[in-house]
Amino acid sequence: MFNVAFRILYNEDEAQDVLQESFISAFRNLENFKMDSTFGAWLKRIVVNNAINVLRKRKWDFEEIENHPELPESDTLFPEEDKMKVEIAKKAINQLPEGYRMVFSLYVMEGYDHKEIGEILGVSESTSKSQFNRSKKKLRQLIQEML
Amino acid sequence: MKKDQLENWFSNHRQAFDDKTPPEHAWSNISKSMGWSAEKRKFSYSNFMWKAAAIIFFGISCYLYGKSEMQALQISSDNEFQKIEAYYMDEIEDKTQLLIDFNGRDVFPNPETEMELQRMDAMYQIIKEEYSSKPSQKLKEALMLNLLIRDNMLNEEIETFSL
Repeated sequence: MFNVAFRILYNEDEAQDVLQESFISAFRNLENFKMDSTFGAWLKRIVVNNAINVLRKRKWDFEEIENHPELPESDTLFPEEDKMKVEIAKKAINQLPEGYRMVFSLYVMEGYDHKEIGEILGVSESTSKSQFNRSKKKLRQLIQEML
Repeated sequence: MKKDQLENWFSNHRQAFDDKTPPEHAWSNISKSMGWSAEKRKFSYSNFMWKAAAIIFFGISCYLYGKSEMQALQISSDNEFQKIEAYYMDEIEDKTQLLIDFNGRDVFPNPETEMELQRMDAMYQIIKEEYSSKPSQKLKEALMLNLLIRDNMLNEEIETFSL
């Protein structure tokens, strides 16, 4: 759960606060757990929502693609397996604008679909999809620059 | 929707991104906020010794065996742990039902204790999930302690009820 919070906030102190707050909230509201998912999935949703609330206080926004030079569409920009390293990937994600990082993390790392991401972030499913595609383009660009 | 290379790479290396651990005091902060501190619970010397003994037993067993035997011990410890876990899960279920039957109203007699047992069960599930993906001695001991505490709480309830 700590990693879930950290991947959204990229700040250990804030992630720790969210972790504590989420556990306390879950234990105090156990009667609201409806058993329609696993307890872990329910708790994870609480962690994600609390992390997003912290981000909102930072006044994040989706960055417009127009602020960046035109990015190529092709997937062939992704490096070969032996050149791609975890540390490069972590640095690249850290450099993503917050909005992109959130959508990318929620979709690829936490396994939410775009409908769920839309509900979490208060955007439409199509916005989530478009932001996700943009996040991937930006991530490919950052990775290429780092290699 | 078909995943592209980038998505596939991140999905395949997902575990590498679970490298952070919360600081030691995170859980004690949660416990304090929930009022689970030791001072609030009635201190029982014999229970404390039993819990301490369970933890020390695991520690000493691992220390006494050499590295080459560690794997064998690990396998037997896991088997032993599963037997102990099954035993205490049955005990907890039986004692809970016993108290409900004693109470005669189809509900647990003490709502506060019931709530605390549910919270402990929830904690158990979380630790168990963590243990399934990243087994460790520390987590196994945490699971054991959770079971012992719950069993002890039910023993105290039964004692109170039967007075």
